[in-house]
Amino acid sequence: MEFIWMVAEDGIPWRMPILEEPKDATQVEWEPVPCSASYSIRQIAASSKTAFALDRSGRILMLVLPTHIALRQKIEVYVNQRWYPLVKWRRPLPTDRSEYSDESGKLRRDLEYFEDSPVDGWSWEEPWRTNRDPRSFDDQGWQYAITFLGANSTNWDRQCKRHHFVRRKILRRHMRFTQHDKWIEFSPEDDSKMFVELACGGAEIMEDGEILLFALGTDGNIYRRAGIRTNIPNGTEWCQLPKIQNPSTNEEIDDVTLLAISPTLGTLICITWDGKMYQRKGISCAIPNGAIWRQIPTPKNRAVIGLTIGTEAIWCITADGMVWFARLEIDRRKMEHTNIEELNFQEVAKSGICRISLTKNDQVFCVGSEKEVMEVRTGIDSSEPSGKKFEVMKYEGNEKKRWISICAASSNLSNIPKYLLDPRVLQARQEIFQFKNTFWRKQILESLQISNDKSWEIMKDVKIEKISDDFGCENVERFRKIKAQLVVFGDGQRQMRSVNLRISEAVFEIEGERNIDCAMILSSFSGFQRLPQKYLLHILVKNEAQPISFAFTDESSRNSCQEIVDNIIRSYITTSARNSLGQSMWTISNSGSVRWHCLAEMDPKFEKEIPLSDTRSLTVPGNFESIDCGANRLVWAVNFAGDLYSLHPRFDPLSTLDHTFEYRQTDELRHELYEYQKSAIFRGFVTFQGQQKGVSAWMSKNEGAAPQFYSGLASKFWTWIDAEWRLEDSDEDSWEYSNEIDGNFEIGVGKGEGKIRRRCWIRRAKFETNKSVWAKVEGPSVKVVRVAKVENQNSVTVITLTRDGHLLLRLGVNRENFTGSSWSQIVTDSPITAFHIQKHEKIWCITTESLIIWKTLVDTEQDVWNYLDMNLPSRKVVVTQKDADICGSNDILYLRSRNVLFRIDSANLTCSDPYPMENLRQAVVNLQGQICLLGSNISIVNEWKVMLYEDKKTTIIQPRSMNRAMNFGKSIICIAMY
Amino acid sequence: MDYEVCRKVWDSQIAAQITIQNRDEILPFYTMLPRFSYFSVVLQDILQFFTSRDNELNLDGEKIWLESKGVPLKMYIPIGVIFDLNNEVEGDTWHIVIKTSNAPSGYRTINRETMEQIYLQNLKEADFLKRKAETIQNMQIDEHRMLWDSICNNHFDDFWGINKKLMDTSDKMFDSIPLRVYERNRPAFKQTLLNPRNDSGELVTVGHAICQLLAISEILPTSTLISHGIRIPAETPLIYAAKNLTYPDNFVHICVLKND
Repeated sequence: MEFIWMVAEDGIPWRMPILEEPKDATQVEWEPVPCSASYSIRQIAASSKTAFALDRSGRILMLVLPTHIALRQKIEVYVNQRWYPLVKWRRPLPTDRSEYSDESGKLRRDLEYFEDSPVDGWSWEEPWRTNRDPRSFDDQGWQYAITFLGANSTNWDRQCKRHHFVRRKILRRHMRFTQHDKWIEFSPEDDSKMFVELACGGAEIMEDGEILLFALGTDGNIYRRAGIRTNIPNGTEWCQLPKIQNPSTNEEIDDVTLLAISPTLGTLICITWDGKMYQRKGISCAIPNGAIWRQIPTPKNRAVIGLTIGTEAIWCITADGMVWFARLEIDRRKMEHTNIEELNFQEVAKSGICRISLTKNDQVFCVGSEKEVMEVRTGIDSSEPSGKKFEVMKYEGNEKKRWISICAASSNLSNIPKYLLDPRVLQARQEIFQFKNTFWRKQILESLQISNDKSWEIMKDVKIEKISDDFGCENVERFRKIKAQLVVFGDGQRQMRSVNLRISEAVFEIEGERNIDCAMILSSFSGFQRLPQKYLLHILVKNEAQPISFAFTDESSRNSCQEIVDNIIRSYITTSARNSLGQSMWTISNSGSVRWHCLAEMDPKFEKEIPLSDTRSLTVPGNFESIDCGANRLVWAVNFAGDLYSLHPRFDPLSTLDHTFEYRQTDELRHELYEYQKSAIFRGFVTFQGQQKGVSAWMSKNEGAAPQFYSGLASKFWTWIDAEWRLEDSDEDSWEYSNEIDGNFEIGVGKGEGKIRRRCWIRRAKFETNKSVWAKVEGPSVKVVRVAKVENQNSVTVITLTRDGHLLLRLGVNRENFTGSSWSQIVTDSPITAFHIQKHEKIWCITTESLIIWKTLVDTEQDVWNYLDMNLPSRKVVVTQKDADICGSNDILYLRSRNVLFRIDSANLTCSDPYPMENLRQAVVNLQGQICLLGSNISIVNEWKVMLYEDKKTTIIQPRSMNRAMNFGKSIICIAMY
Repeated sequence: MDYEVCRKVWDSQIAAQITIQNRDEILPFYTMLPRFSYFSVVLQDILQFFTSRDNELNLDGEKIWLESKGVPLKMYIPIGVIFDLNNEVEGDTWHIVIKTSNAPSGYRTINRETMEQIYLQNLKEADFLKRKAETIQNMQIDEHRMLWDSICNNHFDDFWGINKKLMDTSDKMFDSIPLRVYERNRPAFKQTLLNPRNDSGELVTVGHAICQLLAISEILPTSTLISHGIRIPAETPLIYAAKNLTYPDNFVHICVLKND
């Protein structure tokens, strides 16, 4: 949720929700957010997650916006005991560490101290719990050592031996922030400081969850709040900045009145009583307090009384009421504004505005000076950065109040939404949404669809009849003629030969080369080649290992050819015999395109499913990085940028009729281009021609050789975000060196190292379509999504793993409501690497510390996780954090770490030796519980041979029978099966 | 405007089989007729098809008339309405015969230009009912022409680009709703002044409106309300039908059929 914050004259803060596509007026209503009666607010500064309000008496209040992921902090206390003869385990000696301490033993902790509500706004989640990780602690939670002194974490043993005299256990408790969406006191521990101004920003230069919050104290000093993090929203302490020094007299300047900071970069400017501006130079993530103050010139040397800084724009108001605008130049590598000292202010208006605030994308919200109502500056875009005119926002509540402060810095708005200026827009929308889910509308839609389908069916039938009746009449069987280039491999190189294609319903003819029976065409997928730039279409034919590849010079011819081939495949699938289980597989290729594979085709002769390598597939529109499918044919996918999408259930890859889906799908990709140079005698490093060991001077990270600074993109849905290529590393010496062109490259120590060097160039591109069949599901950035394969009463369990290892459960997902209704967090102690939903009732996870835990999905709020304690020698199963999967069926778990597979029987507590497989990248299960492995090929293992070692704990596994598809494993990055 | 529904309504077509009277040796013409269009508009293309097949065929556009199952087909009523009225079930193609004999008395063969005038006339009447013809009088002649052209050439986006203005209720609601009700074996349609809202301010449903029109107390379960080839639920608000279930002349044409 994005808001713009305002303060009314009576001291009550208001906020305005900003939505791109609001359904009706209630979603964007302005709402008052009052503090308790004693406060009268005069200013608000906000970031996208938190808002800070400054009261007239100088106190700061904070409001933390609701989050999907709970804000939690973990408190740990170690309980230490010593063993004495006769009395056994008791409190330690006075010379030892205290009974309750932190890990080092130095700090003493008292349990009573933690009994009540910890801090204002936080509350305990549960009572003290013992850490029972079975690898380090025994079943009571103790670990033993000989002595406290010098004992570090590796000396502690989980089993008590005769020489162990001390023991400890860890008590753990979490506190959770519960006062979301309410104003609470900001720094109750330090009541002495009072403030008169606030400024909040710097979102893009700080780490995730950190922001820059500056405040002007009543003592004239400027302070920065240190220690602000995602789970510590109010930071830990105030740091004082050094005072500004008057450049001529070297006296300290005491009379700062206003602070302003850019919401995205670290540009902080303050204004003094006499209207002069000073910038704090050198603010960066590493040095958040900045380095030095520098005076900057004001517009025509007039006194400045109001100021706001955006990303590429800066606006100010001078004492004579005039409004000024200047452009800001950004150095994208260093992420800083470069032209602050030479700003070229232009006059925008003679008067009319008394307060002004910029959004992150430089849209202007302001308060008019006459009537003190809220206005916006319309017409701001890249060609007219100062916009066209100030317009009053036509909102009911606007003109009834007088506003004294506004903060738009928390908003990403890049243009003023129409509904702020014209209330009719919302009304029209409301009408549509009013009726959307009524039964009569659904009935009408369904009947229309059925009726349309019927008419077309009739037409199709008639045609076929007609043709067979006619004799002597020319067979009007339609065929299409297409010109393309056939890609052949000759002399070890790829060559292209122009051919004519003649495609009819039964035969795909490449004139002069060969004829392909259309029944043998299995799938088509598109590709893109950079050097030379061509749009490719690969066609997989049954029993052939290599696809047949065609190249087209323009995208639309390739797309129409693909459509024809897909239609052929579609007609074969729809006319073949398929079983009722409807098994299918979804795959994503390395270019992000999605395909649906029909695994339900039956071989009429043998009455079982056709082998995997003979299945057909169809391309589905969309651009994603990972995908999962589950019960009720629900399909969810994640794009490269981490956004989550759900496939509209009425979309059927087999249906030829165009349902008009108008969802918006976006994605973002970073293109990486390596520049190679070889060292030549006397000339130093130079670029080179041709190829060496398959590497040419300019190489795209994923796609091979590429033109220098290429500007071609894979399809019409992609456009560039960055206008040009820039170096990844801003350093001069960002070259990496190596002696072999295909060896390891390292940052050069001295310039003489290595014969080859390379550096990386970056350019970002974005994908956008407004006719997508995938609907976006709002939420935090996601790494992986899993859909349960079995329904749970009336809904299907969908769980996502966010980028920082949190688990979120999506509630209310079913076919009518395919995007679900809300998120609920499944709280875990430590971040999760991978997880698996068993049926619909259990979730298995592997944490980043390679611990396997599970719980039932009934109550997701409580932290009741069970550990899988297999009594294995510790550290046997080590799972890499970045490249791991877990899946399974019933009590059998399959754990994949890089290219190695483990089979864990959780009922009998056995674990297999690692089973390596070449190029293994993913392991998933289908509804039947069979495991499907994505390696160089895609294989479904029908049965495993499991042999037990003597110790009854380890097993060796081998696949007994497999169903393998040889033809396309290499170019696939993700699979999902149902 | 409810895009999904409007689009589907526009895309509805009827499979038709067209033959020429007494010329069984000429192969029938199979085509899909758009429901929203008129026979006057499509007749030209049909005739052209026949003459291109057989150059000697001489069909005078002014003298022929159309008939199906013994019933003459009116050229100035949308094709979809005629089909719904005369046919029971959509199971088969619609057999239409081009008759060259003398037309029955009272039959008018209408050419395309005349149809355009009739169409605009209907459009003005609909707008008059909705808002005293303010909107349509403010529209330019070009826009009128564009509306007609997009009907003739099946241009959905062009049509709705202009039609949206006639469907806009952001200022105020329509005064009354243009609705025509047809019953089988009755000569013409019935039309009356209908308010979109009733006295208590609620939206009037299609069912109620028809009851009011036909002066019956309720819609019997044995009758169905058909428009665009589908059964319209009686609970549909009239204002919704007026915006999304109309034919291009901005009228809602509903056939009330009794199931026997």
